[in-house]
Amino acid sequence: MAAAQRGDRAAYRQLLGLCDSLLHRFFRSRVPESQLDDLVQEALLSLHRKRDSWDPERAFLPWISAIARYRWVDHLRRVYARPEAELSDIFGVESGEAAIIARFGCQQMLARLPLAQAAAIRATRIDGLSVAEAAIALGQSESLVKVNVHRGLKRLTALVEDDR
Amino acid sequence: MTENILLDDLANDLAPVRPLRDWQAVIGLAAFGLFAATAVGLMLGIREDVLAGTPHPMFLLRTGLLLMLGGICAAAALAMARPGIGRANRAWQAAVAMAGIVPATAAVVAIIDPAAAAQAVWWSSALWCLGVSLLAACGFAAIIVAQLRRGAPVSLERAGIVTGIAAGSLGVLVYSLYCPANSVAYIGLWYGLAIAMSTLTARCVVPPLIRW
Repeated sequence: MAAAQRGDRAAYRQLLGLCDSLLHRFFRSRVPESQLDDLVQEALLSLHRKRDSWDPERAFLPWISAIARYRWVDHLRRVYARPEAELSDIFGVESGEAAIIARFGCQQMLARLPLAQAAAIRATRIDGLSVAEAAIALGQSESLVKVNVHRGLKRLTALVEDDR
Repeated sequence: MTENILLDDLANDLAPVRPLRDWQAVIGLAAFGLFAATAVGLMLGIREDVLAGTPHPMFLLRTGLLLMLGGICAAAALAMARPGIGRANRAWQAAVAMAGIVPATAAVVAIIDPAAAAQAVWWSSALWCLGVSLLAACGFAAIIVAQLRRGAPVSLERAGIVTGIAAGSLGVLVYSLYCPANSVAYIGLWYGLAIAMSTLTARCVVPPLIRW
């Protein structure tokens, strides 16, 4: 990335390829397959547009992780998931990348939400249920599902840079 | 995987960039602070004790607190332009807690001696205090927001709150060069109110401006 900031296109192309692969594997378990490519492209474009916000004196992974988390939370806010999607298993990732992707840490972010909020987000924004379906599945009223999604997304936004 | 054509396009579009640094914004804040202090001095005047070189202890105390609060919060806000997991800056929360001692003291004073506190609080310059402080705060906030827009803040609401506290504190600091009040009741109420108004406004206004 330091070479990319200096304008080294070959190094940058190589970095983009690596990030593309990482982002695909990272987002695969967190958005429906139909939205995966769009979200990865958004994250890559964000990386490109905001590349001067990476500090060469700091590690690259925490920076790209924050960008990926931000794009993911922003995506959850904007897009309702569609029910046809099947999520892939994160543990299918090759061994070396699995540890890196784990550091992106979205599972930890969801785990830090109150259970009802995390469940409402997962049901409506990741698993693709409608609000009515989620209400039945979760045993919450429809308005409570909406409130939990709203509050949960707000809290997720505040957790983007947290490392716990 | 993303089509190679996108990756190729991004690579071909690459131009060298300078890593984002805080110092440009810091210089901007210092320059605007100097300008605003000069304007206050020319239009309202500077406290006589300051001009005489014998500042009142309360002036020194509040200047130190406002500098600390404004400086730490401005640094935290500017750092938010360069994101990273585990990089969340919490120093501003400690600074806010420490500065909160002043309005807390003002509340205690008002309970102990309500009449004296009321007399101190309803000083005729109170509206000037709010107006000048918030006007100056707008300038400081604009500089911080410009830096955040250049960068990639990922905690938008927190960035708005911290920007508001920083801008409000620095705005009040500028006004305090003129402010003749030395009462803790006055300072706790009106300075605290100016910073609170700046914070609430920035909390609402800043996030949409820095969303990317």
